[in-house]
Formats: sequence, C-alpha cells, structure tokens
Amino acid sequence: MEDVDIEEAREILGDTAKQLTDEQLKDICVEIQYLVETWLDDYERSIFGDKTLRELLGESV
Amino acid sequence: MKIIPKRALLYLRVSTEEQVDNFSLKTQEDICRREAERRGYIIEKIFREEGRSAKTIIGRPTLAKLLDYCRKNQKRIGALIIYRLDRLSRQTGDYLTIRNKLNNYGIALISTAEPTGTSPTEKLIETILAGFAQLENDIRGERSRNGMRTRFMSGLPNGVPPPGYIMLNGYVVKDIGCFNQVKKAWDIMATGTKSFKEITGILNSFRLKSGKTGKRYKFTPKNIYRIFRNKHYMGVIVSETYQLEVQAQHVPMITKEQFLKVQEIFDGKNKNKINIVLRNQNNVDFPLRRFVKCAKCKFAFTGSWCQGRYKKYAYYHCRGRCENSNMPINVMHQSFAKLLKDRPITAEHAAFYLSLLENVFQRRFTKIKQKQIRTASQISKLRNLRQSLIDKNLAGIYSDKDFKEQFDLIEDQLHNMALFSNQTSLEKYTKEATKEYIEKIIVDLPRAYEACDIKQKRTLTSLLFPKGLIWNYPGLNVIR
Repeated sequence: MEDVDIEEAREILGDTAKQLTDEQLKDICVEIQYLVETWLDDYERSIFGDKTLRELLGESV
Repeated sequence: MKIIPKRALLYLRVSTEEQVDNFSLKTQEDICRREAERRGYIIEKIFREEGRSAKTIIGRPTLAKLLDYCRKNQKRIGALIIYRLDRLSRQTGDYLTIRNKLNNYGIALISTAEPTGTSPTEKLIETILAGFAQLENDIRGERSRNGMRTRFMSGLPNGVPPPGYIMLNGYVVKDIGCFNQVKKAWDIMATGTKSFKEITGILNSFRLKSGKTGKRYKFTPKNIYRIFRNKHYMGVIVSETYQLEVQAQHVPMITKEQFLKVQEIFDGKNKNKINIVLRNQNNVDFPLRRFVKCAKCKFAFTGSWCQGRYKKYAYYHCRGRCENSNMPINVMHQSFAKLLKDRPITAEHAAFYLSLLENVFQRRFTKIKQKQIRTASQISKLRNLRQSLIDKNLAGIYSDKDFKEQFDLIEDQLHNMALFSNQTSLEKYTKEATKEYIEKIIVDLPRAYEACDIKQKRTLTSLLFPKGLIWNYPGLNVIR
C-alpha cells in the first residue's frame, strides 16, 4: 500500500476531518485504503476467474 | 422354635497400598472372622476399602456402599464388625455420625480390639477411644506439617520436582536423561523466537522420560507455561502455603538473569515481537468481539460457544461476567445491522473512498498495461519451453512425474497470460466499472457488511464506530 496524502484527505473529508489530528487521520486513511484494496480484490476475483490481479501477475500490486 | 442365625458385615480398611501388599487386610479379615464366629454371627458380606485414609469420610466409596447396604438390609443384619474403631474414622465427629446411623438401623457395632456396646459406660469408652484415634491422627498430621516446613526452610522442596530433576533419597538431583534437553528448551525460550505451541513441539520431539518412573513426559502449552514460570529452575523454591521463597539446595539449571529474561518475554516485553501465545483475535463467529462494551461494568464483550443438549450455541458475554450479559450472537448482530442502517457513510467519506479507489485502480491498471507489453514475447517463450519439455519427456530425459509437475506450471502461467492478452476479460476492468462496484457497497452497508470477510468487518466497524459500541441491556448504542 502506498502512503495516502494527508492534506488531500483533509481536503476531501472537509469538516469531518477538522477535529482529527494528522495521526488519527492517517490511521483512518490506512483503514479505508485497506477496505478499498480488498473490495477491489473481490471485484477482480469476480471477473478474472476467482483470481486477483496480484495473483495473476505473480507479484505484489 | 426356629433360631434365625445372626448375620454380620465386615468392614476392613487400609490407608496405603503398601499395607495392602503386607496382607494387613488379610490379618484384619482373619481377626474379624474369629470374632464373628465367637459371637455366633454368619458373615454375609465383606467390605474392603484399600488405599483410603480415615481423615475424612469423603472419597471413601466402599464406606458409602457399606452404609447404603446397612440401610437397605437393616432388618437382616445384626452387626458390623471392624478390627479397630479407627478403621471407620479418625475424626470423632464422623465416627459418631456413622455410629448413630448404625444405631438407627438397629445394627450393633463390634470392634475386635476395643470394648463396644450399648451400655452408658461402653458408649463413653467408645467415644473416648474414637477421640484418641483423632488425637493420634492430629499428632501425626502436625508432625508431618512440621517436618515439611523444616524441609522447605532448609531448601528441600516437597512434592515431585519438575522435569529435569528427580527426587533421590529425599534430595533433588539432576535427572541425567533429560536435564540437558530441558536446559536447551530454556535457552530457546530465552531467544523469544518461539511460541508456546512451538516450544511444546520441540520438547515433545525430545521424547523425554522421567528418570524416576520411566514414563514419558507429555508436554502441553498449559504445563509448558508452568515450567517456564517455575523458579525451581533457577535454584529457588516457593511455597504458597508459607508465602516464602527459599534458596534451594539443588543445582540450578539456569541463571537468575535467564529466568528473568524469559519472564519478560512472557509478560509481553519480547524484543523479537513474537507472539508467545497464539490467539485468534479475528474469530469469524464473533466479529463484534472487543468492540462492544458492557454498560454495567465497561468491560468489553467477548464471545464463546456453549454446548447445548443437541448442538452448540454462540454467545457474546461481558468479560466481567455481569448478570444477564449472555447474548445470543443473532440478537447482537441484528442490533448492529440496525445501527449500520441508521448510520450511512457521509458524502465526504464516500468521496474519499472513491478518490482512494481511483488511485489504487490507476496503479493496478498501469501494471496490467506493462504486463500486456511483456506478455506477447513471454507467451512465445513459454510455448517453446512447453514443446521442449514434451520432447524431453518423450526422449525419456524427464520422468513422467517431473514432466507433469513442470507442464502444469507452464500451463498455469500461460493461462494467466492469456487473460492479459485477451481483451474481452479486461474490458470489464475499467475505472467506471470498479467505481460502480464500490459505490454499491458503500450505499448499502448492512448488505456489504454481511459479504465482508472477518478482517474487512472489523476494519469497517472500527472506521464507523471509532470509540466503540455499548450494550445497554438491551440494544447497542454508539460511544461518542
């Protein structure tokens, strides 16, 4: 997983991120990124015959 | 006039198996039989209690059977014959209780060694003798306790020493057969690289046997825990009874420093960051475990299975074991689903999910494009390789087994590559299609939650309810 741009996240999340420190926001970003990555894996499995892109490429995505 | 013969029961007891071997039971039986004959009784049944102490009447199944037999056959039985009063009990209270029961059944108690009967004087003597039996027992117990304390204070442990040591003539000495292996296990444990399960496997693989009994030690994570917490190995003996620690006389297996190092690892201060105890924190049956707190005691709820008459039932329950905290999982999960429904993802959060998706997708899609460029030449190479493999197998260079293994590997790679060269399968992998897929998920969270795996469920829960949830007996609420 790549590092999420905290400033960009703060900008998108707007008011909901105002009360959060950088550290808290980073934690949230990591968790959301994990969910998005795994959901995308699920989608890939549904179209690539039960395999993720990572598995097809035989390397880390 | 018909004379009905008098019937008697014999009760024989020895406290240790050694006495059984020394025919003490036989001696008692002979004396009791003679007494029965002298008094004109026919012996109906003999009750033998072997290896049982008379300090208490609990844990003496034969005595219980005897009393039951007396109750059921009280009309027929005239007497119970014993060798001495202390065979029945060494506690005056217990003895008198048994005596009263027999009196109520109308059964006389006859001791071959002491005067017993129903006259006031005989009763008094009998009670005094029962008191003496208890006194003897109490004195013996006191001597034994004093002896054990003296032994402990002089650095000699009581009881069976732990693996690696044996008791020889009252002294703890090295068990030559397994001392070095147990020491090796301590050394491995001190590295902090092995879990309980692994170290259990290592110790069992040594196939250690006790030098005293010759029996093989069977190590489990539970007794392994006790071994590595035992100060005996560093030459200190501990007594919970006396609340004391004493320097022992035996040779220590490890140093104090090594012992303390292992204790630190156990207490979670492991520099190598290896989990000593493997715990399954993500249990698929209990996704809300540790997220939900109890409104009464503020402890987190945990989950476990309960065995019913026909099947098992899953429950959440408060770790503080508050009253009525046992909750069938479906009750908790339904309440959680309602909470999810009432708490949709905000527009800002949805936008953030999609923005992250765009980044992730872009990254992966770039990889696909790079792969497609390489695929054409790789497919050609793999086909050549496959043909060469077939030729070599036909020529007898590769065995059928090796051929099959390598052939499957190449086929698998070709199949994967075909996906990248096949435009139709990649047509579905677009930014719009993935966006639509994720949007569907975040719009209907309760449904998406059900489809998630356990890690996704826990991540989603902690994202939506960062401070956790509280069970208000009944009903879940968000902690704000």
